[in-house]
Amino acid sequence: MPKVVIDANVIVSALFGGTPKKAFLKALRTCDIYISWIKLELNSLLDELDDKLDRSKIRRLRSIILNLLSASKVVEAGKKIELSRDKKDNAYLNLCLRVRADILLTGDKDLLEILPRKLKPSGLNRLKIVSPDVFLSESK
Amino acid sequence: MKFVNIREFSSSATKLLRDDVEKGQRVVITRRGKPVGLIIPFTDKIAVAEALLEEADSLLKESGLTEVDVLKTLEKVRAKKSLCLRL
Repeated sequence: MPKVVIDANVIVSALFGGTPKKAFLKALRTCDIYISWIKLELNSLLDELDDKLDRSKIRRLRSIILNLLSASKVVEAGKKIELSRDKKDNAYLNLCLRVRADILLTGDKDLLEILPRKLKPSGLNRLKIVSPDVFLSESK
Repeated sequence: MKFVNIREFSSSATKLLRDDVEKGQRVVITRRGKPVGLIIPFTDKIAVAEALLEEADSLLKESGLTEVDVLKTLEKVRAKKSLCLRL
């Protein structure tokens, strides 16, 4: 099965339905999903939303996210690559390198704009960085 | 897929879970012939994820939060995290 790393922004968008939701479900059905720190990132996100959501909803969303990610493999990423304009995004590229990912599924513009020829010298030969739309339109 | 009415469901829930749901069968609960609920086996990970995402969507929409708001907050959280890592 292809290996896919999923950006937290795709998980967040999937919670609102639409194409990201379909893309997440396709990844769950057809790929091995790898994550690193995103459970923590999504937990901090829910903490940050505590003035807009009541506690019971936050508790429920926490449990939903945990369940959605329960089939993913958790891997610690190293720190080798610095390719993205936004340095925070490099963590995803490093995770891709670590697990030899085939696909990075993201909604992040900086990551999506990295040219494939720049990925090869960093050891990310087979990586495709794609948006949920593109991931869904591809066969399989 | 198995269909049971509410009366059957309330009298035989334990048996239904053991003999059908735990063996991978979905059960539709009906009232006066119309479906009112669905039990999905937890092993059916796609159906469970679909149901969870649907629930999350309603929870977030009830709260008036938009996808853009939440994505902006995620960016803030990331910026804070990256700042902490650099300190």
